[in-house]
Amino acid sequence: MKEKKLEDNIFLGRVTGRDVTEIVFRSRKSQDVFLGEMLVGLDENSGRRFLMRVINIQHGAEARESGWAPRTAGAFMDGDAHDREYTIYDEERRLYHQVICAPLGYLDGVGDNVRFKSPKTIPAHFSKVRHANSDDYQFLEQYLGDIKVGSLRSGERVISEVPIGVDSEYVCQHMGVFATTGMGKSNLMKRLAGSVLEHGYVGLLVLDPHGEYIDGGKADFKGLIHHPRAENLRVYATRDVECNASDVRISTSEIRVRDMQNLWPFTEPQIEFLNAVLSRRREEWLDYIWDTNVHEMFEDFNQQFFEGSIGVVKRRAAVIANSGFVVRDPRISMTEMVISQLHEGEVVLVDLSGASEKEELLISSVLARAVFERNAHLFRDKEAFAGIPPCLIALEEAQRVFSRAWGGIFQQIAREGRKFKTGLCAISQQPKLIDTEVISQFNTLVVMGLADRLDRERLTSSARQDISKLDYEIQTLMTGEGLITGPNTPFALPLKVDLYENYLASLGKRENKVKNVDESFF
Amino acid sequence: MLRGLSSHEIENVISQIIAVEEPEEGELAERGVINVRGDISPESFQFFELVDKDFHMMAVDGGSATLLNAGSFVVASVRVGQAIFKGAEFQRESSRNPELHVFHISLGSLRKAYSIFYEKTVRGSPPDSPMGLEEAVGRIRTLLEWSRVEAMLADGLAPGSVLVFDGALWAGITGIEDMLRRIVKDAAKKGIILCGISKRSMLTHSGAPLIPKVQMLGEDFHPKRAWFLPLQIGTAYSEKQFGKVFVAKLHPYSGHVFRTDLALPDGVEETEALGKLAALSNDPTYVGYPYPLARVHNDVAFSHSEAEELRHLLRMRALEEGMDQKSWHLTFQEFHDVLDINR
Ligand SMILES: Nc1ncnc2c1ncn2[C@@H]1O[C@H](COP(=O)(O)OP(=O)(O)OP(=O)(O)O)[C@@H](O)[C@H]1O
Ligand SMILES: [Mg+2]
Repeated sequence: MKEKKLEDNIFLGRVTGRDVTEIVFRSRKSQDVFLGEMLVGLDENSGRRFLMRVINIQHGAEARESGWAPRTAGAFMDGDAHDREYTIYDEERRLYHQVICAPLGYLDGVGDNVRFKSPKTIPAHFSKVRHANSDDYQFLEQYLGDIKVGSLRSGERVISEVPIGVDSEYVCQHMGVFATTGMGKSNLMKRLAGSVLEHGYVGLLVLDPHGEYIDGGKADFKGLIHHPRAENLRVYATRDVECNASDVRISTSEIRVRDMQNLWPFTEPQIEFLNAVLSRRREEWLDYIWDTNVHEMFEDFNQQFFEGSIGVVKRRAAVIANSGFVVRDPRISMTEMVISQLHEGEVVLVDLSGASEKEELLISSVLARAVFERNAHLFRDKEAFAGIPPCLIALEEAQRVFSRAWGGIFQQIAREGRKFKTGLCAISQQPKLIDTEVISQFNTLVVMGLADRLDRERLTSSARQDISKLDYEIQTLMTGEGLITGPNTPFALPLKVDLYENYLASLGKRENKVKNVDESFF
Repeated sequence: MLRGLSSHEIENVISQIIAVEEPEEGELAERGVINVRGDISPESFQFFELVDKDFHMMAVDGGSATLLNAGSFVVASVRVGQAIFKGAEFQRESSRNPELHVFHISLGSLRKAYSIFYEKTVRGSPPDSPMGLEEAVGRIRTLLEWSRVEAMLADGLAPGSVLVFDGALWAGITGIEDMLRRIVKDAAKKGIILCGISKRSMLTHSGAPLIPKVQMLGEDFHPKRAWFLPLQIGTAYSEKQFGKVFVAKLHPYSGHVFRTDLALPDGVEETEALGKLAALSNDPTYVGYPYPLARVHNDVAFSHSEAEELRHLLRMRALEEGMDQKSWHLTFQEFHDVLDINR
């Protein structure tokens, strides 16, 4: 990936035509233009600067007859076969590129009065086209989001002068991070958590099923504990880790019948039995099933339920109750601590890599519900509610809890969390498995490389901004590259996420600089 | 069905196309029709080596268009230009803008209009006059082309350069022999290879068109090769012909061969001149034709929209000067257009 200064004002070509949905310009054949690059069409009459992105590049030739190019290629091939050299004379004049751009909008006015407007008109005929420069990007400042995760990107260039992030104001309207495996989702989340550690805009709960956030998982990789502001990090772990971590503990009273239903398929009679227990024993339903033997229960409920059904429920309840992460004493549960840490604007990392998948999903559900219900409860007390930061719950492999079959807390947060300062950050490599209705609740999307057409279609059909024109680009995104759309972005902002390790190094440099200044001062 | 067609007339035309009829020497020379003599055998063909592209080639050509036609007079435009290449590279700096003229010629003022251009280019007054409007426009264009060639020579080209133009080294207009002699002498003095390449030729052999005949023989004798064939032109034409005449195939895969006229400075072989022409004749679109000449041809030819633009300009000026729309229309409307539209 190249880092390149913006200030080249080379003219790339001139506009030749088309309409408000697509602008075409002719560019020099020798001038590199790349897919996804941000360009400006200069309308010299009106002074408007039309911002646009390259969405396709085609060959063009000034040839009178049709079929010129294949015929010429044929001549070249014949020449190759007979060791004869052909030369295209006046190449720059006769051959060119036809660059197709999606208009993003235009900048009207000068100086402080620059306004960005949506693409409702077109640049003049033959307007000159150049790369966008820092002056053009200035207007973006108000849209760039405060929880920084990377920089603006123009094609393959990283515009490090224009840092891009997620808007903390909108995290409670939920966000989705989607990319094919290995394209950089977890790195993005680490980078995002890094910003929160630095500035504490939100309370961030990271549910980590793979154990990659604490220390990066592998040698050479870095984790959240390596962050210079790791004092704002709270770690809970399901395994032994080499840092200060608390144990993961939830209590039986925090587990709902619904949670259990998400883990196993139950038959009608089994569900009826569960509900009957619940209505009689309330919070203690799980303790009751755990403590009581099948026959006793059979009698307790006047032999209304088959012993077989009761037996199945009991066996499954035992699986939960026997988990080392589930305790009876509600005072030992982690949830209270987690909630107060989130309300302090800290990053709470729950490493679930030592838990089974069922345990992991159960713990995640319990924690998410605890945060949501607490915030919803505080909502009634205006002052207290005003005092808490937005809480963002980040969930890897989110397709598991957002499929149609899954019911429960995550769907509820997706629908109602916005009002109660509770946002979800769903991370997934298979958005196609996520319910469309749920996706439409994610107001901020970070779309990274997605190879599968169905995955892309699911997103393009529910994204806030029209990203359908960017379909080809999404396919060709490289690791760490993405597009971000949100309630406040004027268009899908192209993004290069900082590699977490590089970000840490640059933080280190920043701090060193400050130190050096101090040293020389004294 | 082509009603009224006589099959007899068709037969007649065909037998004339096929017939071999040897004309008298010099009979039609005035009009450029020359009968080439001698047999064409495999040994008559000669070959050359490609020359490295580190020389300059200048190309000169002209284009013309009839902008307005009122029957008794026309308004025509002529444009001549040049292109300078150093090897395969176009030399923007040294290639000057083309020269564009728009002029009015009527049957009545034919001599006067022609004289103006003759005066400017050949100097002196013309010994004869063109026979019609079209011929006048053609002659004016030729005069301007020669004058441009002369100007290029004066621009100081490096020895070994090639100056190529569209046409033959042939004084097709009465009175320009001196000018051509001057040009050939000047080129020789400066070490410049002067070369004319004709897209169409009136050369014949035993009464039949020469170029296709040579092309066919060349392809039979020496397939997939570049070659050239020196022609023997009778002495009767020496007053009009400057330099030697060849038929040349400049690229092994070219589908065209051209009459090529060469006037060479001392010490320059024919093979060097042809090798230089061939070196720049390998553009895949114009195989076998020197690219600089193709380029200048395209530069000076009037496109439909350029002719329209000039017409529009003339009309606007005429209306500003008080001519009314209707009389403009009636003067220049082409009844052909009407016939075509209502067909
Ligand atoms: N922004 C980036 N810049 C450079 N390299 C990156 C970036 N993001 C990720 N990478 C590289 O790609 C690798 C995979 O990234 P990451 O683990 O974040 O992908 P992922 O999408 O979470 O994959 P998975 O689906 O397996 O969880 C990283 O180890 C890193 O080497
Ligand atoms: Mg990952």
